[in-house]
Amino acid sequence: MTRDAPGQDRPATGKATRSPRRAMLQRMARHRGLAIGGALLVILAATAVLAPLVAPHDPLAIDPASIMARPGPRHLLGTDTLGRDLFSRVVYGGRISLLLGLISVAVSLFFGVLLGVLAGYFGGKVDEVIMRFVDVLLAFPGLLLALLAVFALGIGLRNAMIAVGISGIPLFARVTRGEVLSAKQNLYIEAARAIGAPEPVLIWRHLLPNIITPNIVLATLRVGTAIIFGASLSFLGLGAQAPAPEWGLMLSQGRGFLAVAWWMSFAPGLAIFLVVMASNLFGDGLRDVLDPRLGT
Amino acid sequence: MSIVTRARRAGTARALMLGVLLALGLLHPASPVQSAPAPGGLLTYATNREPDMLDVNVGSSRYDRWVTANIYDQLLTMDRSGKLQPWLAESWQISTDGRVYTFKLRRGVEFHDGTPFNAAAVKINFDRITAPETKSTSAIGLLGEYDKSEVVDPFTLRVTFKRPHPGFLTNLADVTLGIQSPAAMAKFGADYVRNPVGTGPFMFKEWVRRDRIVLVRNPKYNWGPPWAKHTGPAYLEQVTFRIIPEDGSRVATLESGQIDGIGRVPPQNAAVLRVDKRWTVVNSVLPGTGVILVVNGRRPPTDDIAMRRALEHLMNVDDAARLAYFSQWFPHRGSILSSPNPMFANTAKMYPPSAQKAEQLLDEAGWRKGPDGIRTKGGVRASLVYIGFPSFETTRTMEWMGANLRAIGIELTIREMETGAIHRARQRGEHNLAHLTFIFLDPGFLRTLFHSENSGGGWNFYHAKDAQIDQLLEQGETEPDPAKRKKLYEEAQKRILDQGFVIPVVYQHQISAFKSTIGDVAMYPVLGEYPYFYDTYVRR
Amino acid sequence: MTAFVIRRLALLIPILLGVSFLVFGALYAVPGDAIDSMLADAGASAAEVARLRREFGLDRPFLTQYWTFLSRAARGDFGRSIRLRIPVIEAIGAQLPATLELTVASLVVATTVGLSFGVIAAVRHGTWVDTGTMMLSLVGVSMPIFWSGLLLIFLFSLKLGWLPAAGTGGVRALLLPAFTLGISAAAIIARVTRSSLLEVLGQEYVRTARAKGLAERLVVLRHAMRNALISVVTIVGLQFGALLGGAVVVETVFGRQGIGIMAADAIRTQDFPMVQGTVMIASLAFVVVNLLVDLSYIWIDPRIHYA
Repeated sequence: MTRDAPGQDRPATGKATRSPRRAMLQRMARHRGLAIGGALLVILAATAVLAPLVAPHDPLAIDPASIMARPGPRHLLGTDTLGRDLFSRVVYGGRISLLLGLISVAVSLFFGVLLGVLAGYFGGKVDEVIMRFVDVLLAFPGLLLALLAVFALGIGLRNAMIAVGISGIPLFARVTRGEVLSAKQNLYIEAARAIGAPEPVLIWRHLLPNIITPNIVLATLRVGTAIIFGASLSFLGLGAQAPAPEWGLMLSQGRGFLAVAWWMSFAPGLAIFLVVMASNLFGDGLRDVLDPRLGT
Repeated sequence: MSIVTRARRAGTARALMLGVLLALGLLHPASPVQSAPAPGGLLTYATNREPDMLDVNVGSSRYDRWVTANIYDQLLTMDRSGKLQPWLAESWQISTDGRVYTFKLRRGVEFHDGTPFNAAAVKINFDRITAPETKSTSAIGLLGEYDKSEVVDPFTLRVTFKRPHPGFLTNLADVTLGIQSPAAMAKFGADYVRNPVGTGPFMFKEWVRRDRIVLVRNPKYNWGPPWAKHTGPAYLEQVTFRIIPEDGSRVATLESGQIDGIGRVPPQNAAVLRVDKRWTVVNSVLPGTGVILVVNGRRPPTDDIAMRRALEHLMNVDDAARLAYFSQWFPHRGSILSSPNPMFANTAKMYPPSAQKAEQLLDEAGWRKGPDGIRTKGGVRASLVYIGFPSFETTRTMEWMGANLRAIGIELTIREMETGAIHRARQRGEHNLAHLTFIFLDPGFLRTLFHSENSGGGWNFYHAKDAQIDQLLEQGETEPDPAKRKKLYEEAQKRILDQGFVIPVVYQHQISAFKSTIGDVAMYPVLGEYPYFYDTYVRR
Repeated sequence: MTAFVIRRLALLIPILLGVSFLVFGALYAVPGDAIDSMLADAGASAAEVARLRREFGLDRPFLTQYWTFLSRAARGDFGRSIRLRIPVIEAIGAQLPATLELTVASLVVATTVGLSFGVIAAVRHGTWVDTGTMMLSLVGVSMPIFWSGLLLIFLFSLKLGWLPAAGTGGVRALLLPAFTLGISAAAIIARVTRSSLLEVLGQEYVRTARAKGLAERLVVLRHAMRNALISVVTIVGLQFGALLGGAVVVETVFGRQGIGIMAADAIRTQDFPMVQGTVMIASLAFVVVNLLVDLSYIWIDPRIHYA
């Protein structure tokens, strides 16, 4: 539905000499949101991956002499109640969030697409059963499903990733199923024309590209939500374990010290905000360029 | 700069200012007015969790006792020196075999609904506690091997046990064995949990779920505990308990003046409040085990006594108290009993804190450091698993311990989970270290926690079988001579620490803070977890 | 159309059944049970624990327990909370108002702020107002609630002292949490409003209306909004779910009572009856709101038919 990115002009229409793929890449590069979001994501990811080089201190090193120190030259973002450097912890925490985003979205993608394909392709009873199951998952408002799932699986970061992944399945299942259904529609028309062509091959050749695009866009947009859900679970004490420098856990630990050491709560929250914003910018841009049909 | 230093500096600045003003004669240099307590006044007190129920026969969680301590009276009471005193029971006799107790009860005591307190009422309470339909969770444990109660005459009650129960008198002083009105229990049935009727200085008025519980003064009250500072009804007209679960918000609500007192003040806030004259901070040390770590003697690497003893030397309780509890909860100087318990033994000298000594013990026992810095011995890695309930203070303790352990070549994994799962995990011995905190008065309870019979299906989490510990706890539970009993428990405390099955950290505290305009705020003696508002008054 | 409504309502039962089964199974899978949680500091002996477990029927096989629960629930009896011993329905009833007022207040904030910003952005499409609004909305969507909540507490409660940091009763205690929850939903509503309005504003009949000389504002509000409303209503419905789910975090951060935090506590202590009750209520509310959203389309656009 959104055809325009904020303030972005429409790209000039077709010079026939350029291939569609190059044209798309050009549109991507020109899309401001996409470029900025992408660049930010790359920087953040690089910081996370290169954490040992970027972080000035050991994120687990305790320093009883400088507990709750204000942000300053030695500790850029201050220290926490055990004297640990917050900047280093935030940087290393990026690794955890990166992993969290990737794994949970992978889980959602895999099971969601699988269910969607099965439902759309086979139709009938299979479709009914699968979609009712998806409806049940959807009946849980927001975080509640992830909460229940992580509790059932056992508290911990790994299970939190899976739990967040589970809560994202309906989204991908529905979209995939929709794509499969509309692909099937077109297929019958084509099959009527191309007599004798084997149906499965046709479906496969048409299905795949139609499924990939919307799912990629959704996946990019979902990373932000996944990171927030994961951090929420850690915030509630159900995800990452101490002494891991996970951002949600750090926020929860800093909460009791808001009055005397507000920087403990500021830094990790800012990090989450930047990552999510970057992924939203990137995802929005991707959607604008690849598949404006998707809307919101 | 630490919180305390910052607070002290602020306090000093204020003091300086006062001094200057005084010198300028702008303040009347009279001493602070000690007003005599006068009846009247309302008090609002906030705790961190709502009570589950107000029926002590059925359940008596820590959150329930805040309120029930002010509604119910007990047969006996413990004064501030730890001595048992008569209360609703004026005198008692114990049979020579320790199985039969005969109580002479106080006359003229009434329940809030006007019905009389007598031997029949007490019998009904005890019978109800032990009846299977009641599904009692706490009180039943305090009645030991209860056999029956007999009403000898309206104010004489004879209680018989199947086996000697020397802890009975101490347990009778516990709020959990407060006496409830039989008439009310019959009238309300299952809903009595929300409609408590006792004999205490305050009567239950209303309970607005998740918001507040309101108690009003009992005008007929004339049978307060012997250690109380006055007689007759309480001063306060009304006491309101509010529930503010979030620590920071609770403290902020007190500091903004919206309420008169709060409980469960976190250590970091206590440090700041105590140097501020506007607030009175009451810091009570609670009886029981204190905050201790139990070491699993059956799971490697803590099945090696050298490893356990090294851990003992590594724990510096003064550092722990300072870093994890901001010096507001005091270092534990014992092993499995804390200082308010009458049979507490000071065992602090057994393991002087020394990282070098810890390393020496490990080296001597054959724990060699590997290429990644972690020690191994005979193919076993020095890797400890900690299981605990998430709490800011215990997490900080373990994070700090983890850093110290890494420095001497031991790695620590922290696994925090919710209560149900923790319990199973500890029973199965999935931990090397686990926190344990229990509040109780009589050391007879130690058998439940540390006797090998309770390993696996009960509350013993060190899981090893030590015949000496078992024997000492068995004898101590039923030994009628107080001096001999004390000796037995002293040896038990020393032995369990010597074998390295517990690592004490700090005592368990409960810190409350009140406006300084509230007079005589005191915690319930010895059990000290909750305020007892009988003597409390509002200064005019 | 009635057939559609009936069919959707009929679907409610199997969905709720599925929810309850999932919840029961999830709790059952966790080692330990409500008794362990209850006796955490009571130190009961193994025999006492076993006795209690028997008396609460927690030692019976999974399907038996589930069947007992179902048959009672069908009669409207959700049993008593294991920990509190009071009827689940009553406990929920006491908590519901707090969550309802939070959800409603957040929704009010979300729709008023979101709609106005979305309309302004669409009408001033292409100008810095548009860009600015969309950037604000991006910020709003990207902020984790527990962070924005803490920042607001820090500013308005600790530093300025204008509003209470915690508590459930009264308007003043509602302001910060409703604002926190509402703003994140407002951001999404603003974007959807803007995009659907833009789509509509470009259409023929609006141009015709303009040509007739009606005031621009009337044109926008009457014709365009009506058509854009479908997307907006959809997103409001979806946000309701997010608000319900986000309630747990907001209630934790702001120390409020409510269904969210009660559900979380019940899950933690494995209080089966309580979890069933709260999760069912939340799911039921969510599913019903979705149904209402779907039905409202018919009122908004009479051209829509449901098979």
